[in-house]
Order: sequence, then C-alpha cells, then structure tokens
Amino acid sequence: MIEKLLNASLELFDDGEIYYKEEVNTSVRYGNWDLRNISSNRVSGVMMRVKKQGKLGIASATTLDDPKTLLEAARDSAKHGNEIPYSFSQATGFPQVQSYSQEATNYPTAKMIEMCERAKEEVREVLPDISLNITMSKEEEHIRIATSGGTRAEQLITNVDFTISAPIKGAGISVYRFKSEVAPFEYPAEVVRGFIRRYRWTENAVTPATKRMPVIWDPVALYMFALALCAGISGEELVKKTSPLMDKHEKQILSDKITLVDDPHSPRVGARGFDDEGVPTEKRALVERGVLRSFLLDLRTGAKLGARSSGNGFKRALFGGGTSAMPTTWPANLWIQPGDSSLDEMIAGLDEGIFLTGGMGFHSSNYTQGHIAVRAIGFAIAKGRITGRLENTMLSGNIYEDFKHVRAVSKEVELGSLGYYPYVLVDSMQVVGK
Amino acid sequence: MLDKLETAIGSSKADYTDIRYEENRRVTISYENRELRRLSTTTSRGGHVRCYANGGKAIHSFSRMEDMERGLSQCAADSQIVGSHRKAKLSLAPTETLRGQLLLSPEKDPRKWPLDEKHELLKHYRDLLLYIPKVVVVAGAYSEWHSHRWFVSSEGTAIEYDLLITNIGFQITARDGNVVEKTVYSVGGRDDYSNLLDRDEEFLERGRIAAELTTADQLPAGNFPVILDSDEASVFIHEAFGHLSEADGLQDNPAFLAKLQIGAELGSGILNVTDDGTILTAPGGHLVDDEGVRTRRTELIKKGVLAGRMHSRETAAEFSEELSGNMRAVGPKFTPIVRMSNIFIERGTSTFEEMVSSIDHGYYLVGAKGGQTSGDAFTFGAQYGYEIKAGKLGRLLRDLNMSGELFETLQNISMIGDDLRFAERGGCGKGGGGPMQLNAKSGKGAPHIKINKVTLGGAK
Repeated sequence: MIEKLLNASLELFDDGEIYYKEEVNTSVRYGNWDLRNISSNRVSGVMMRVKKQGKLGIASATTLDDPKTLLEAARDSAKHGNEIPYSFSQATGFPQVQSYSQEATNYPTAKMIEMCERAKEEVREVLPDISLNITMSKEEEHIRIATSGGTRAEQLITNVDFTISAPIKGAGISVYRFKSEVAPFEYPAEVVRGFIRRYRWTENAVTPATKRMPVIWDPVALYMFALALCAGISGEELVKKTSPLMDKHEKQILSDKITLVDDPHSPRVGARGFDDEGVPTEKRALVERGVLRSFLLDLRTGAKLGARSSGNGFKRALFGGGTSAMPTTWPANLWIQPGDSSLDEMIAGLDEGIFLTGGMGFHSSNYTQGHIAVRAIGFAIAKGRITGRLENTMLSGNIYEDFKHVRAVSKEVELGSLGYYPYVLVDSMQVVGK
Repeated sequence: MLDKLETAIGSSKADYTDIRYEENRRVTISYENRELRRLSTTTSRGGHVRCYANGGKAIHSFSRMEDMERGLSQCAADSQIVGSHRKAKLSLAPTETLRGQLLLSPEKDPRKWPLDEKHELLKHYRDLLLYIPKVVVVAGAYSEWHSHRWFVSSEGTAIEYDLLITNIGFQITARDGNVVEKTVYSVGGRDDYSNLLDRDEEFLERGRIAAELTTADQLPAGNFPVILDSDEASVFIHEAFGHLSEADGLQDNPAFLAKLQIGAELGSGILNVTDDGTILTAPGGHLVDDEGVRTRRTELIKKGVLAGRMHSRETAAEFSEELSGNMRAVGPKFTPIVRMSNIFIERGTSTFEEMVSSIDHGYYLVGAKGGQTSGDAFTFGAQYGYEIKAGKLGRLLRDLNMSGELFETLQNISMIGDDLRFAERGGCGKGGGGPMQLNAKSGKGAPHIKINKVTLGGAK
C-alpha cells in the first residue's frame, strides 16, 4: 500500500515521503484499589510530504485506504507551499536497534491483571488507608517511512509499562513510581517498595524557608533540565537566533560533572534507528563534561544552517505531536553519564535542602532561555533526613547558572522523560517557601 | 452511518454498548516570520466503542471500519473481565434518548470561506507584528477544526452532531541583547468566521509589550496581593478549581471528595462560578456531549458554596448527582472524559480602579501563559505584569509564575470585577487516567479579580 501511494505521488510531484504508523495497545487500570477498566486500541495514521517545483505539500489521514483524497490534499497544499531548501531522506542503511519483543506483543491481559493484583496486596499490607491506583499496559508500534529518494525505513517498537501511584491525603499531588521495558518483566518488587518508601515520606507537610539551598533532582524531574537545554541546542531556536547558546559551541555551559549524550542505539525504551524523517539516528555527546559539543538538527533546520540533519526530526511537541505533526528537532533518547554517588548518600550529606521529584507549571516558564519557575513537588531534607513532603514551595532558577555548580551525580540511572538520568545534586537554587 | 453503527451494536454481548464514529477535518496555515511552515487540510476518521457488563467497563478505539466488529467483541469480553474483578459495580445515570441531527449553523461559516482569504488575513496580522521594533520572531497560525460525529447507544440514542472552532493566534518573540521575551495572543474561538476580523489593535498591543518586556525588570519572589486580569483569572478558575469539579478526578480520591461535598463553603459570598456549554459564542460551546447527553448550564459555586459539579453518566450515578453533559473526547483515538465546557467566574461589582487603589504593595498579572494543577495545588504563568505601589500601577515586569493552594486562594478572593470576558482561545490538557487529550473546545472566562495573597516565583 505504501509503495503504491508513493508511486502514485510521483506521477504528480517531484519528490515524496510517506510516514505510516500503526499502534496496537492494551492497558488495565486500577483506581482506588478496584479494576476501573480495560482499554485497547488498534489505530493508525499516515502523513505524506511532497515537493512540487521546490514547494512543500502536506497531507495526512488515518489510514492508507483512500489514496485519492490524500493525493488531492497534498496537491492543494503544494500549490500554496513555501519553497523548502531540503530533499527528503535518501538514506538506505540504518543502525540496528533492539526495540521489539514478541513476548510483549503476546503478553496476555490476564497476566497484567495478576501483576496489579499482587502489587495491590503488597501495598495493602502496609498502607491500607491510601487510595491506590495502578496502570499496566503493553504497546506495540510499527513505523514505516518510504521516500522517493530510496529510503525504506521500518521499525517495530514494544513497551510494557507498570505505574503505581496514590494521591497524598490532604494534598493534591500524588506519589508515583513506574517501570517501563521493551519486553515483559517479572513482578517489579523494587518499584512497589520504592513507592511505599516514598509514600511514607509524605506524612508531614513542610514548607522550607525562602532561601537558596541544595536541590537533589530526581530522574523524573530532570525532564525540565533536559527540555530547557534541548530547546537551547535545537535547530529551531538556532534558526530563529533566539537560543541562549548561539555562540557557546565548544564552551563550558554546565558543570564538568554533566555529560549528556543522545543515545538512540542502546537497547532500551526509546531506542530508534532512524528519526521521523527517515534519517539515521546518531549516538553523540551533546554536552561533554559541561562543554557544549553538538546541536539537534532535522532536515529543515539543518538545511537552513548549512549542515546536514543529525537525525533528530521527530513528530513530538510539548503538548500534542503525533503522526500529522511536522517533525521538529528533539533528542532521540537522552542519557546523562552516571557518577559515583547515590540518592541515599546525597540525602544523608545535606544539612538543609530539597529532593525534587517534579515541578508544576514548567511549560509556563521561559524555559527556552533556561529559566525555570515551578511549584516544587518533592520532599524537604534537614540534617541528612527526609522530613516530609514539600508544601507551598516554589523553585526558580536558570539551568545555565544553577547547573554550573553540580555537587554530585548518582550511580543509579532511571528512565525519565526523553531519556535515562541519574540523580543530580545541584549546589544551590532559589527556593521560595516561608 | 447511524444504521451501520446500530447494526453493529445489535451484536454486542455487553449490558450496555455505545459507538462514536468521527470524520474530522483540520485546516492549518502556519507561519514563522515570512516562511510558510504549513498549509494543509488534513482529515482523520475512526471510531470508539464503550461497553459496560456486570458493573465493569472496557473501551476500544479503531481506525478502520473493518476493525469495528473485532474491536467491539474484544471490548465486550474485556468489560466482562472487569465486571468479574470489580467490587464496586459501575452503572450509568439515566438520560433521555436522542435521535436525529444536532448540527451547527454558523452565520459566517468558516468552512465556506475561501482558503486564500484565510491565508491573507493571517499574513496581514503577521505583517503588523513584524514591523514592531525588537520583534524578531512572529510565529502564528490560522486553525480551523470541524468534527462530524455519529453516536449510537444500545439504549436507543442515535444522533449525528458536530463541533467547529476557528482561531488565529500568534507567539511574538522580542529580543534586546541577550534578553528574549515572548507574548501570545489569540482571537476567534467560535464556529463563526467574523470573530477573526478587525483585530489589528489587540495584536499590535501584545506585540509592543513583547518588545517592552526585553527591558523590563524581573519580579522578586515572595507572597503578595495580586490583581489578575480576565485572562489570568479565567485560567485560575479553570486550572485550580475547574479540574476539581470534574467528577472523574474525584472518583478515585475519596479524601479529596470529602473536602468537596456539595454545600462545602469554599470562598467568600461574592464568588459565583458556572460551567455553561450552551454559550456557543465561547470556545467550549456545543450541543450534546460524547455520550449523548445534552449540554447545559451547571452552577458550580453559588455565593461561595459548592453547588454542583461536572459529570459523566457513570459519575452522576456513582455520586447520586445531576447529569451535566460534560463527557467529551477530542478525537476517535480517545475515550470521552469529564471536561469543562465554558467555565467562568460570574460578574462582580468592583471596578478595576477600585482594586488597584486597595493595594499598598502588590502586582497586576496580565495574560495567561499556561497553567498546571494537581489536586488543590496550582501553578500558572503570566505573560507580563505591573507593580502596584501605594494604590497605583507602576513598572512593567517579566517572567512571572504564581502558585498556591486552591482552598486558601478561593477564600482570599476579596474583590470581583464588573467586566466579565471569555478567553477566545480554548485549550486544556487532561489525561483522566488515559493518554493526554488536548481540547481546543474548552472555554473559560472571568472578570478582573483581586486575591489577597499568592506566592509569586520570580527570577530574583
């Protein structure tokens, strides 16, 4: 079907690209200890980009069943389109990555229910009075990209996810822990126990003093750092000349304890052999010991900056994204080099500080400039111990100032948003509390 | 189409089944400065099935019509499995059976407007903004979304209805040396094209402010009295209170529900909050929700007291409360969840001048810049603000974020303006236990309000 559509497009246009994705998934969701629902999807999406006399045309639809409508929409779009300074991918070889497990595809719903029930019983023994929520899901994606330049890229992706959470009594926020793997896993005892440990920390509410203090960043909170930094090194901000890192290539921008790698090839969740434009992905350092080494480019921004795409064109967005979105520059799969500390050592070493597990309102910060101002979610630390959950606390700062002074990086590495991160102890950030 | 769906439902083994099928069309024209980034008309279609059996629920989405039957039987079987595990059985509140068409008929129908005119209008506003000194990037888009839907239930409802919204919005970036600041502004938010026309002055003002912000001071962090403009106040009521009035969020949180019993005193006697999907001139207007319940007006807070909430048929039954017609999905891939339609703070009696003169040292926050909420904790940004000293508006300020606790903040609303306005841009993200659904058809409104104390997280 894809070949047929591509061939038909070449009768009308000079250059063409078809992106087609199918998704099949099932999830079971427990709410307040009870199985709330089973949800399943069998959905698809197709996007077509064409070039006619240098001009870009775009069309998208849900299935490949109606090529005529797609071709007409692309033709109408190309009539008005701007001239684009790039051709669609011509790549023919891609790194092989391990992103698929047949066992995940065949993983039965009954097993997911069984695992959730077991976790439920373990938590009920020690925290019977909370409102426990658990979601377990299996997802399968099949991405295919074909271009008139000869690219035929195809990847199967599976994910099995387990998330356990509960709202904190008397507060609005929840405590959660999760595990996500390409293939099915055994009962995630460490996740359930980690959840219980953190839930117990929430008993007291603490509002710290308003002052600068050390902040331990949980891997799941580091998306704020990652998004702010990736905006700074994105092709979009460079083209617009609004990146705060315009003239910082090969310069020290962060602490020498921070090495940030875009690593799509290691076998883990998020592995990709090619981006959403069919360009091979690359493993490379973005920041090495605090020095800015490279930028994120897709076909469009690469061409505008006189460089080639670095394989970072993805159909993502802070909100939204998806098949019908235009690719923009995103990291493929981030990795922060672990250090030699540990979360427990970091906590034990602080006389006063906070352990940040999340932030609310990140997207309304001026984050593309590195600025972060969020309601802090996490825990207060005093004299080497967690003293309770944060309440009425804000955190503000700028990653290009605050992450210049990193005291420690942990050995442990965990999955967060956009990649895998260790715990990072930042020397001092502005906390607004009492 | 309705016949096809009714026939399919006939084979379902569940106690209750419904199917929604959609055909959607989106027109997008977007620019970054003089570069056309996208001009496209995209279509999407697909369906969604919901089954209830033995007090259990399952849902299924499909893209291809050929997959409907397979999905339906899987969904029915899954609902039996859930029913066999569930202790507290789910049920649906009764609703009237609807049949026939509930279609929109805008006076100036954007679907009938020539694409070239839409394109020219967008370029016109862009050019105005590009000539403002210090403005370096003008990114803007015309968007038009039409969703044609068919809904059939095993109780006999079989309807055809639609949703339509248009917007023109810009993000304006200004630069002075190393300082880069942005403002956003958006018009439209209706099913009628006319609201997009003749808006030059408003766009220009927002553009000039972006330029001025590059030399504005940053805000000190701390606790202060504030005045929120209509846009900010509407985000506050939407984010901080509105989401807690959506009953599905309370289903699994009994501790919170206990705080939010009907009759609970939440704010001062001057505060009235309503959700009203029948206001078709605001972004959240619609005729019927995605489980075949007619839209209506729901009083949420009356004289400071919790008076009602937004429901699905399932939550209305569980809470033994009135149906409200708020169950909505943004596309065929998604199951409906409880969503605000047009939530707003009702008009008060104070003037803006009275509010400013009542503050010795505080801030006036203008222009919504996104917000987020989790339970009773909220955070949101302002595009810019002004210092208030000794009852007078002072210098312009940038990079503002405020946060607080809902219950405390509602009590702290001490003045409500007489100048109610609805935001023209919808947009609300909510997962509701599933994937994030970004709903453009979500409206919010408010007059100016004064809050005696919030936490401001500035950069200083």
